[in-house]
Amino acid sequence: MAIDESELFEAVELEMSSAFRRRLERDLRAAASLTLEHESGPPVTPARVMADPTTRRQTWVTASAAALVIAATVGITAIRFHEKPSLGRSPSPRTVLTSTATSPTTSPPAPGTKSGVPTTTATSPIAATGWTAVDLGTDSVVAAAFQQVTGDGPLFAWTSDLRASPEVASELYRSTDGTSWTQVPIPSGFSIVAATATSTHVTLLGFVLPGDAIAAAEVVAMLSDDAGSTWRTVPFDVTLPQRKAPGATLVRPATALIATHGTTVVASFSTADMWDSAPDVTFDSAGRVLPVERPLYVSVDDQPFQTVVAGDLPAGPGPTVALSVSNGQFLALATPPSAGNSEPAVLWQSDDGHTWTSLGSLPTAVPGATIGKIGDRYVVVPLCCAQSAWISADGAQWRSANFGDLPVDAQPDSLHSALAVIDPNGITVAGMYLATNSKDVDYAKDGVIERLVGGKLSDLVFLDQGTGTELGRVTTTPFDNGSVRALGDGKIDILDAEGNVRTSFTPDELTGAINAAASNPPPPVGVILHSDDGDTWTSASINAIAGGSPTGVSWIQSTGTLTTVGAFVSTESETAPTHLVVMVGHEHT
Amino acid sequence: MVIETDASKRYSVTTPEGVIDFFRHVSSDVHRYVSRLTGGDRQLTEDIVQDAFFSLVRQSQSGLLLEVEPGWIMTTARNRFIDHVRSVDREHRRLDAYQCTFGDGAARGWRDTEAGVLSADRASALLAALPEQERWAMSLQVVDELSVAEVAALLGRSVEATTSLLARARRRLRTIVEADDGD
Repeated sequence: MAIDESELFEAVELEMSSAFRRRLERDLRAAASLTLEHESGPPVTPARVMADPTTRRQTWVTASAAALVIAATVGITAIRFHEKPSLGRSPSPRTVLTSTATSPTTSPPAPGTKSGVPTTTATSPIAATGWTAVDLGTDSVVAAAFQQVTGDGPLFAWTSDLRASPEVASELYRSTDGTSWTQVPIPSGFSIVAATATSTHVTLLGFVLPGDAIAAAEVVAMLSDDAGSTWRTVPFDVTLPQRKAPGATLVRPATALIATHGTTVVASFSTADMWDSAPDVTFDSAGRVLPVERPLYVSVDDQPFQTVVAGDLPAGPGPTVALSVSNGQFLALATPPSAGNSEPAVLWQSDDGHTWTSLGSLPTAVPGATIGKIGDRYVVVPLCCAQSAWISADGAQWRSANFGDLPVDAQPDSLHSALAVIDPNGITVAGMYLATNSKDVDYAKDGVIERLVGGKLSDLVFLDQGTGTELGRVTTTPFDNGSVRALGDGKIDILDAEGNVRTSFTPDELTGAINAAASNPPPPVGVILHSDDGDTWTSASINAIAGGSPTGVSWIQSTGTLTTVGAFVSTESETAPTHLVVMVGHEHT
Repeated sequence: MVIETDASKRYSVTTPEGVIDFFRHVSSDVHRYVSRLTGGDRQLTEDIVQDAFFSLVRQSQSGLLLEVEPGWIMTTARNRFIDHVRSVDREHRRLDAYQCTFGDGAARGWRDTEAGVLSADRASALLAALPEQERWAMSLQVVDELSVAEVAALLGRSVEATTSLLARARRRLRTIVEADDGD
């Protein structure tokens, strides 16, 4: 019998199951709602990221940051631009962002800021450390896209107005107090993808576009030892695919991780092709295709970055989901190369960035995370959807460190956009809980109301629309009380007195009702969590500190003397629905 | 590849509603397409479809992806499939455990085939008789109608190695069918 190969593959074609469709639509809606609600905001983390953890922000701290304590006052100051920043090799800062208030405790809200911002001490323990809210507003590129710089300081932030053009270069800003930001010149045409700052080095990872419109973008790191006054370039041993036609496609680093210790820099990045069909591939200097799994690269003493090869990393790192320096050692968290979406991540450690040792696996998969150490203990804070951090003495045996009591009505496993600082003295996490929509959802059809009790698919009550009489309540299947019949295939039949089907409710109708209700969910609850030891946690409300509900957490940084958290906060203004608010927590003195 | 939706229509994905609207219009086609690539592996199909749509969300949040056509998600899904193939390929090479499942239950499935009629179960069984690398290389060539050189480029293999891979796949299929016909 001859083989028709086309028929062979057509025959195995599968229809999407209703259950998968519903679950994926729900997850996509949650992710998109978190990321897209503020059009002018920076990218924030999807609610759920599966196989490819290309979207995450992370931070790590190698030293310091004492416990956060002390009495707090919460005030709002306004930041404004005095001058539009410009790119170039200007020898001096061109733009200064200045607070209009000299004292956050006494200044009135600036024009345009949301009224009703709390000005009294918050009640939660960590709020007593002195969180000051600073509203950066919405009218600047900085407010639109301030991005995190990892490391133990000083405070830097960067921005790329990608909405204007995928090829736009970046701007770098520095602050000493989190409230005033000064632009730091960087080489013209350099676009930042990731950045880290320590007391001695500022390192930027990004790309430079070539003069030839169809040539490949050049991946480079920019290093500075003098806080950005001068920069030097360190190239990578990779070449991205070129664009296929002038201006057609830009393959560039999409997300990246970077960590420095001394003169050693370890980095990892993914590539993205925004419109065309080129896969996520990079090539080494010999023209060989490199894994798509975002290998690690290492540079020492400004030498070009080299790929950490399998010989040094026996099983291969797999997609790197976290990278940091702690106690002078590099730490990397990576998903096994051959893993699917749910394989536990593996912890790797290296003294020099070249040779890595696998310490063990986490009990669970983490699509993105912050990794660090408290003393001798390893700590991992998942980026998304976690209720606890993970702590281990050896990297092999892990225990969960529960974040503590959740805000009322928050979903139990849904701390999103969880950015963290981990240092020898504690863990500070900023994130958002998605509040549960606990209202009943009604859907009427053919004189019958289908009520999703508490908005849940698992508790359905059917009512006669005319009389209000309860016809049946379905919590498990199969179910059949003579009036309501659910056989477990998703469809629910309503029967008349003779046992004939009066009407039926389909899974799609249920999904539609849920979606309609989900279109107006309760506002998220933002929290800043802190624990000295991973066991006892305190929390402060971002909603209370910032005076609004957060739509995304954009960064967390710590310098040892202060901690800053950046979040987008929704307002009631129709013209400026979200503001970027920086919350500054001062160390106790 | 047949896309039943309007392949030229562009969808705005700057809002959650836009993303969901796009998902509802194209997800079935994407699922069917990916299922062919995977040879009917439902779990792998769902993983790839899910990842492709989350990629859409991620790129939307970057601000670069304002509108999208169905072809974009198809291409993204195919790239994710290729990522998976490469990843598994590397693991196989590392472990030197290239296992061939030829001749077991899959062949029995083919023997049940009635002349001229190929059921989904029997096609799945036949494709399952192929080692993954052979099956996936063949799916790219057949489903996407790619040349050997194109398949080789996508999989990161030489043209010679890919030619050999595809030849082995066809030889293996032919052997199974001939064995069935002989029974």
